[in-house]
Amino acid sequence: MTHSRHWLRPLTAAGLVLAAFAWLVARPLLDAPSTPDAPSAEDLAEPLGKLNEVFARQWQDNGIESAAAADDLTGLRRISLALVGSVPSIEEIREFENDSSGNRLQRWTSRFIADRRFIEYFGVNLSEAFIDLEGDNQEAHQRLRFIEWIGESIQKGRPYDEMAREIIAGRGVLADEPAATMVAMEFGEGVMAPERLAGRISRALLGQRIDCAQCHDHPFDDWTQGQFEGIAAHFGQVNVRMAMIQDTRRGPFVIDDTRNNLKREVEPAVPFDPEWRPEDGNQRERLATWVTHPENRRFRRAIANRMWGLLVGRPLVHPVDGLPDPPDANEPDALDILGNDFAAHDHDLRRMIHLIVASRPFGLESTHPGLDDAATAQTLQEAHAVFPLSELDAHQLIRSMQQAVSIRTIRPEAEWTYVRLKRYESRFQFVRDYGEQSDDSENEASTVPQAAERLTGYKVRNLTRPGVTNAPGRIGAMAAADKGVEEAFLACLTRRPAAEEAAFFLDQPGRNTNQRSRTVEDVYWTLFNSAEFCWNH
Amino acid sequence: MERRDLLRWAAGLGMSFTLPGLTTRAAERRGTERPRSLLTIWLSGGPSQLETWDPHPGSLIGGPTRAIDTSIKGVQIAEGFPLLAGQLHHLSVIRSLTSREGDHDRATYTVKTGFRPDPTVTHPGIGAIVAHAQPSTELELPPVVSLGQENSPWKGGFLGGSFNALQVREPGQAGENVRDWIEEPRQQRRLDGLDLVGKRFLQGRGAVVNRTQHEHSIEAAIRMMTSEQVKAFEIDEEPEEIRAAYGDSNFGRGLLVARRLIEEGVRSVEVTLQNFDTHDDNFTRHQNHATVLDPAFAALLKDLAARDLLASTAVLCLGEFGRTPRINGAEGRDHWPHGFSCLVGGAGLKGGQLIGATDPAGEREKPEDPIGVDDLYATVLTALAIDPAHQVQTPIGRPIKYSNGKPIGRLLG
Repeated sequence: MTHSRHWLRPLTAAGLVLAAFAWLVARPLLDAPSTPDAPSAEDLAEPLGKLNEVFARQWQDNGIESAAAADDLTGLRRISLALVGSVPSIEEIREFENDSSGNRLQRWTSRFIADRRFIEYFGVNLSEAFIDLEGDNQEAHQRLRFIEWIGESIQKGRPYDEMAREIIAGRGVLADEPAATMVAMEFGEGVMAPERLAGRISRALLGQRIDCAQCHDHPFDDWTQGQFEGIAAHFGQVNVRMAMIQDTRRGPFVIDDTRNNLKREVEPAVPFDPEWRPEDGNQRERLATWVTHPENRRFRRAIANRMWGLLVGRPLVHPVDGLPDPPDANEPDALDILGNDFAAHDHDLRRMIHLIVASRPFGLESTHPGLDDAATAQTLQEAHAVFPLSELDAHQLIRSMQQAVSIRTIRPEAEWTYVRLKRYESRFQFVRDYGEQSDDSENEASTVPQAAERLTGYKVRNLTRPGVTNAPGRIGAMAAADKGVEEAFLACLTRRPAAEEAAFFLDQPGRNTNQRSRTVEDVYWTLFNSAEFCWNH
Repeated sequence: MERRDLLRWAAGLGMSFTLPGLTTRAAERRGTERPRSLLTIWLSGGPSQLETWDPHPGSLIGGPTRAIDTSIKGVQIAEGFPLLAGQLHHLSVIRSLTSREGDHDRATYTVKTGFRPDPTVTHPGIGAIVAHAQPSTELELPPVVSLGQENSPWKGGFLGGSFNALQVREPGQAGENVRDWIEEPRQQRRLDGLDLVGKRFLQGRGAVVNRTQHEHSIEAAIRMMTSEQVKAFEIDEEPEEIRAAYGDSNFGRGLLVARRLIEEGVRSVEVTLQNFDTHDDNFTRHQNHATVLDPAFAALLKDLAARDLLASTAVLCLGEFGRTPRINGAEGRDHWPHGFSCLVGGAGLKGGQLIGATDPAGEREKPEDPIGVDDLYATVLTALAIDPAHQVQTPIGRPIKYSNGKPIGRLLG
């Protein structure tokens, strides 16, 4: 009897191995992220009430009606684009729609913040305030470390004032102290550019443009050349050598005044409220404490303005780093309300994100009857009574296109390294050729070469070509053509097609697979080239 | 695609632009009947006037830079420019440009628009103004082009996004977007679908969608891609001697493409040469730049003159500011907006003029006969038969002139 079962054991073993392999391949590398907790409606009620009141009063004073409330799918698209740089995947949309427990937009905000893509995308956006993202390749590694540090720190809820102090005064081996990258990069070849450093700190952390003060007294806002030099002088002790940053330089800080042909010793000094600057600590530490002092409203207002811009597409005050003097503390505006709540909750940027997402202006439609007229449109936009249109940046565009043609949610940590690298490569090429926006752009209009790239560029064509492993391929193979059109619309525009749109795309000649495949490619091409896809709304 | 097929296809689309090749291109007419163009050579970073058009050899501030004679009697330029020196009589030299902006971004804005930055408005670049003042129905290329690696190309500002410069970072290399276009009925169907989705998006968003210029840029892209005029971007058919004269560099190729674009009727072209921000190693770096700038610029002037294009093309060469007379500790010079130089000519402007002078001792900040950038542009616009005082209404209804400056009489005929 036993000899006739010799074939059974290896077969069972093979069967088990096959089963194990099938199970391994079929399941995703990681489980889908759960939807974590978010601040509840009660948590946010008080600051939210005050915030919405400011806008309501502005609308009333201007005699305007705000736009209607946007639906939740629109909200999902907005937070996805802002936080992870891509439109939501079909998977995510289905899960979101099936999520019937309350507060879902807030919980999905938490989910996107916890996503690995948040570090890569949002980290880049905030890093732009502190370092040049372009530049020579020697520093590429250090830049990436800084981006990761910023993204991870926000993700973990590190207090932003601590982060800011580290950025200004961090020291040690750069590899261990990525926060110090901003200062270290200003010490190229051992020669500091004090004007650039002082300018950067003012713009990034105080929302104050003081660069003009370098050559002459500032034409606006009362900053003088002396004040600018006083800030720069705090970096007089910095020594950057062999990838290490320390405060060991001795001797006074000397400014080279080329106009008057003399050198001038400058004492570290701050332009206002000197009592916030402590006596102890080295010069950089003293400046760091001053900048992040609990009473320094400019510090909080600057980051609130920047975060609003990153989430909504336009900052509350333009330009994002050139705020006017703060108003009377007894009449807090939107920036003060956001800033005060932020300070009262450990400077947690995640909470500020939640507050902005929960605000009335964030939840408004981008449509309004008043938008048909240019003058009324301007009034509505300036009063934040309608959600603004802002162009997707090149990163968002390529990420969104890659996501829209993908069956699953693209999660870098869940992909094989090779796939991930290929994706990075095509993204890099696209961004380089498509063109980055200048950070001063006020919703720059679409340009002709960008249109040309989308219309006929081979990169886009390669994405939309139906294949065995991508969404266009799968959609083309679907039996129910109308479900297919719906999938394509959800994947690209995060909405279902209107009746006439569905009718148009379904009314295609021929029903064989080849023609079906071309129809799907055409739908994707059309949607990718639409303003609705290329602009955030 | 054959030209005949192109026309049939375009007609089949019923698109609202002129069919290519049916009207006489303006460029086929030479001389002053052509539309007027502006060609700006942009030296990005702040070129040192002392190492280019305003040397002070032998002085304390002059450094090691020597000077050479030019075809303008009594005017010398830095020694790295022998070929340009022989062509200089086509242009005039201004040594007393002044601005109040010493910051790169602000200064670039000021020198490219003629206005200081204003938080309430975005001024158009001078190239956009020249295009705005001379609309065309025959030109299928974008009217404003920027060639080379430039981070701040001309913008349309309140004139509108349709005047934003088309940017080609590596001119003279074949573009790949331009060729592919799938067969007609399918393309027609795609564009119909695009139209449908677009109309729905427009509802309730009218004015803001129009401002995106999205539809316009698509139409303009299609027009450009199917146009014969797009060959102007390629230099393969230029004779070898011509290409050699301009030089085998991104900048040299850019200037050659610029000449071809101007021939085709493009209104404004900017060609950028980077890395003039010489806070350190100023002299070597400027010498290196001269080896690229000199032959290309000289070749351009000869070429424009030979093809009878100079009379209708204003040529300008400048940067956002100059550099300090005083040499710093790193053998460099720092920012200096107080008396910097430019070369300007063509379009009937007087050549051979010298305007302004800077202090050879480098002590006096203010130059003799200071000229503002707005005055420079008022002069250029006047030469191009464009009224600098012409007012445009911004979107919120504020009237702004093309230029607030006063034309420089000595340069106008």
